[in-house]
Amino acid sequence: MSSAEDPLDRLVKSEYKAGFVTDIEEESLPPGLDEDVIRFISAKKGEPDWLLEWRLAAFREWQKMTEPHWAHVHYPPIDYQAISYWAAPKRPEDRPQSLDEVDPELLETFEKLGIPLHERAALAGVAVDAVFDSVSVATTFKEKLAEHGIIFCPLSEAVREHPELVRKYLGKVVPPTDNFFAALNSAVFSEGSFVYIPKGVRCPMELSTYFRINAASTGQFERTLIIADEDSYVSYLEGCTAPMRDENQLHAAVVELIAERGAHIKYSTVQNWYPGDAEGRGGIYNFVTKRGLCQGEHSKISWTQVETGSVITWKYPSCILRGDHSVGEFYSVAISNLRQQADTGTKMIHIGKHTSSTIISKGISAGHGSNAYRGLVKVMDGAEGARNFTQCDSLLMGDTCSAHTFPYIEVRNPSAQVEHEATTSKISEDQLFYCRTRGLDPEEAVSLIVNGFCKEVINELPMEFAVEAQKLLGVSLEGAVG
Amino acid sequence: MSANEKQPLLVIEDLWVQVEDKTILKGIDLTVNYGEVHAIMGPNGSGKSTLANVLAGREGYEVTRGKVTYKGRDLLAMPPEERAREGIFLAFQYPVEIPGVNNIYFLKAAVNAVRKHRGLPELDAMDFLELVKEKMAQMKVREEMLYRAVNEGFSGGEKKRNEILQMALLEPTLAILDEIDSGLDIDALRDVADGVNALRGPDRSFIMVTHYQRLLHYIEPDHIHVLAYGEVIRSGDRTLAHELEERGYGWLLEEAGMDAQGAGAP
Amino acid sequence: MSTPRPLQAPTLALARAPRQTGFPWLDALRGRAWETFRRVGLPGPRLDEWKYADTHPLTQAELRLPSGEMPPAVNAQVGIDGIDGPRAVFLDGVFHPGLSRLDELPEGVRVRPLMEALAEDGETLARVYGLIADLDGADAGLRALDLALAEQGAVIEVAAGTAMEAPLSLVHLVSDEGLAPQWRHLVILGEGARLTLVEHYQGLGTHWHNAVTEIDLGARAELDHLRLYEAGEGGVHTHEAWVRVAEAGRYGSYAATAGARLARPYTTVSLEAPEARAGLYGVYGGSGRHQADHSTRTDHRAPRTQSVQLFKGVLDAGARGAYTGRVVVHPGAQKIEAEQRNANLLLSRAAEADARPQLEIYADDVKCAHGAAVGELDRDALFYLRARGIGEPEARAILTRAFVEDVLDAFPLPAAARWARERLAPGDNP
Repeated sequence: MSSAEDPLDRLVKSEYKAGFVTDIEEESLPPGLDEDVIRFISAKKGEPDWLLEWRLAAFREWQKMTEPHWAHVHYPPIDYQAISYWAAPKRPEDRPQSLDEVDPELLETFEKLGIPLHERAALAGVAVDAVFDSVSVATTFKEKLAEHGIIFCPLSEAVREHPELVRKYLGKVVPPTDNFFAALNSAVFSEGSFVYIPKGVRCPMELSTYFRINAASTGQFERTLIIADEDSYVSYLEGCTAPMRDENQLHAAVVELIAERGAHIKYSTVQNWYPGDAEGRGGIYNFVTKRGLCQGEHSKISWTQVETGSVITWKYPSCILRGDHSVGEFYSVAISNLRQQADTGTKMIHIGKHTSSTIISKGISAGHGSNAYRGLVKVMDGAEGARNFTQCDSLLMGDTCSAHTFPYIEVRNPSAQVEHEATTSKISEDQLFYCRTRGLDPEEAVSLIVNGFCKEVINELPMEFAVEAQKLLGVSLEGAVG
Repeated sequence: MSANEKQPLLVIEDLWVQVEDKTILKGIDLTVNYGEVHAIMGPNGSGKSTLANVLAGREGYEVTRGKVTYKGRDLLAMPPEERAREGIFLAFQYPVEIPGVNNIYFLKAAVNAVRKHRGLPELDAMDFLELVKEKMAQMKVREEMLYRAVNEGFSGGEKKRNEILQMALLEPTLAILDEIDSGLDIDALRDVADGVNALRGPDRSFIMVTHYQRLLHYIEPDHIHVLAYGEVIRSGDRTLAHELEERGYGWLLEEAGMDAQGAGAP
Repeated sequence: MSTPRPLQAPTLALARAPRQTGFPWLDALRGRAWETFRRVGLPGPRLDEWKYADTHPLTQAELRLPSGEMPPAVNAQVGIDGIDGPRAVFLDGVFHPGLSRLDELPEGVRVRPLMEALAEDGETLARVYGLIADLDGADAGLRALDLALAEQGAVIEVAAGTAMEAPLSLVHLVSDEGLAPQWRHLVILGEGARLTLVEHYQGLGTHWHNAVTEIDLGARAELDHLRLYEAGEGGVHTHEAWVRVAEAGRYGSYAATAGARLARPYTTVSLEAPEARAGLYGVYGGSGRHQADHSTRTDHRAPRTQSVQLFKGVLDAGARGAYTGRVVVHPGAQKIEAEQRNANLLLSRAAEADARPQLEIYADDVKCAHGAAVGELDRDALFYLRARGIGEPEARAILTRAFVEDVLDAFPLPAAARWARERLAPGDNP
């Protein structure tokens, strides 16, 4: 088969479809990070003193910390002084009061990404918060949600409108000094979403936030905080894109989830940051700390992620299962194609009795990609009857990529049952041939097999996202087996 | 005439059992005398297997009311192994697979534990092998099964034959057969039934738990009890089996004032 | 980044630069090793490789190197019942010809005390000695210390085509409080040679066996390597086996640790040519303050190589057991098969099991699988046994023995399997 027909190859060479740059007037800080930058961001957001002090404390700790290098990823040193920590679309007045006031260019950007912000055009039943560089540009369906007592707004607004909630929960699950990147985020976070679901409320629609890095040389440091009060339910979706640029851009987000007694939070991510080109030029460094606390009995947190973008991913959405009978889930598909490197997985910390967790991880490596699963399952001695099941499977396409599995299992309670299984496979000639004798072209065959491989994870996504994710899998892998 | 006739072997009085907060058995009364064969029948979910497991002493079944007297003693106070040594044998519906423990070793350990309890000398390897081979021939169990791990990779029929072989070796006073017919083809069923019939005698009693009448053609019971939603709704002699065969369970449920969902049951 | 760590108390007692042996190549090698040790220091939990090993016993106890003088024979059983055949016995850190049986080795098999062999055949041995176990990595401290100071051990050579039927044993017994012998063994098998080697480490009271065994297997050579460790709560056994296997060669490792404050057998195998195979098996157990930390690393460097790693732990109150295994499939090592299994049985509270079965894969046409499980005894199986009249303690013992049985089945010497079974899961044979 000639290389022109090689579906894997075509996959590898496919274009990044969200890579356009929006030509919009932006104001941004010059590169560099010091206390003045933090004061500037805080002032820009109109923050109270306690939050400024919180940021500064995090910054001072960050300065004492060193960047972690235990992950199975390689990249040149990051110059934190070469990054701009603030960029926002320039606007004469304050925030727009309605969508009509939103810059049409911006609306168009989100339309291009397939994220209609206009409420009439919005996908039925999805409320959207759109974050463009360092600010939120629009949050839809706020009033409708407010009828249920649900708060869904940019974090900066929550700081002003609901300071008691923010102050109570911010940094409780991911403390400012948790790790190097979390500390950096705590110092300079610019935007993010805030969600509060009151007791007994089942959020009537999917909530979602779309993140877009547009400006050059900018880092994105959003921070999301979701609180599900007793017996409530929320499904939250997160999507990310960025333009194609030759330089690397840093994305260091923090996500904190808190589920009180009987609450269930479902958090889904489709991460499609710019992955860089086939030579490894450009692309987002995605260094993210995501953690959920199952605080109350019978609470549940489910993480689902489809990671197709970024040149480097360092990300371990985790669950602290403190409440008795609480449940943690992690479903992940990570694709490393081109020169992408992913080191991703989860931590399940079993503290409460009869806590259970499930980990399903599917890693797909192609091109010169490197994909590592790294996961910790820890059962503390009081976690009577804890259960974990972990399945991690790797699929390799081609002989220049790599797949790694690094589980850590630590059990201190004899009544616990922990099982870990992993397999590594490739798409076999036989499978491809079989599909082709049934009339599929090689690309369809690859896509079929890959989607089958990822099915358990894709099934966990809300419907609207599942379709998008399947398409993304196809696009990210266009051209990958011979 | 032995002391056997003076007292019943097993007396169940007003037995209530819960599993995970759900009441499964609701006031069972049952008396089994020496030498009798009782069949417990009933639709799925009626509590038949629960009764079998409670009698054998399985964890997770909470007796909330009532008592069970076996040979004049409080059965519920005895741990499972003591029940076994005192002559209770449960043939499991789903015999568990125990990788790494070979069958002959397991059988010898069990036989000697029971013999020791009964004041009999323990068998050495040679004597035991002789005994087990004799029983295996009777039960039509293939010899190579002795050297495989307990129940591991056994077919459904092999597992059930292995259960009956164990019964023959342990010589119980009260054998409880939990759905011993499930998953068996007609030949295997006949062999298993022959094995059971060969063990019938004046000093040994049986409780057969079964969903189907089929088994009763091969092992004829003295008494039949129909269990539904945790209660015995009808007891009778073997003629009841013929009636059930013709009419199913529906009419009995109706007479008991239960519909198919069990509504109307207390 | 690991910062060099100052030498600590016990190390200071050991920390005298290696004495000159009079062989320039050897002194240079020992000097380099000494420098490495000075630089990286003792390993500890700060290293990922040592995450689950508590090295405090090494830094807190008073330890000293053996004097080198021949001790009187001890009043303890030497060796393992049922394992006969030739043996080299080391008593309190010194080769003991009186207890050894090396006079009736078959033709083609040579076993010599370390320094004697290095003196006689320095030129040849310099090409392998100290080179299979490399000094790279932040975790090289113990093997560097060992290489710098070791003067006791054995050099075992089996000529091409020679198969030795009887097992050869190396028995190490420490009876003197506070001794910290440093062992170094070198095993070289020519093409098609076969050998069963048993290393047995025993000790009374506070002691530390630090050992490195370097193994070079020629094409189609086969070595079964058993390592049995027993010590009370005062003993620390650290042992690294570094193995390279040529085309179609086979290496089998069978490690059993029972007791010991810390027992840490580490095995690293390099499958260097096509069809080379490795089977790494281990069982560990303990209670009280016992700690077992079994680690393996298998490098598949050539196509059609195969490895199996199977490790099981039985841990009672207070014990900690860990297995870390890494399988690395190098670029171009296609059509390889690797299987990694670890299971742990926790028999009571306050026991801890840690497992890290890891895969690092740089080739696509591979069959790799791994699994790990931690749990208690199967309750259904326990009930089944009790329902057949078997008392609970015995039922537990039967199931515990069954749990380790598939690993012990792989042991090539029934006497070694019996030895391990008696220590890990006492009772009759299942």
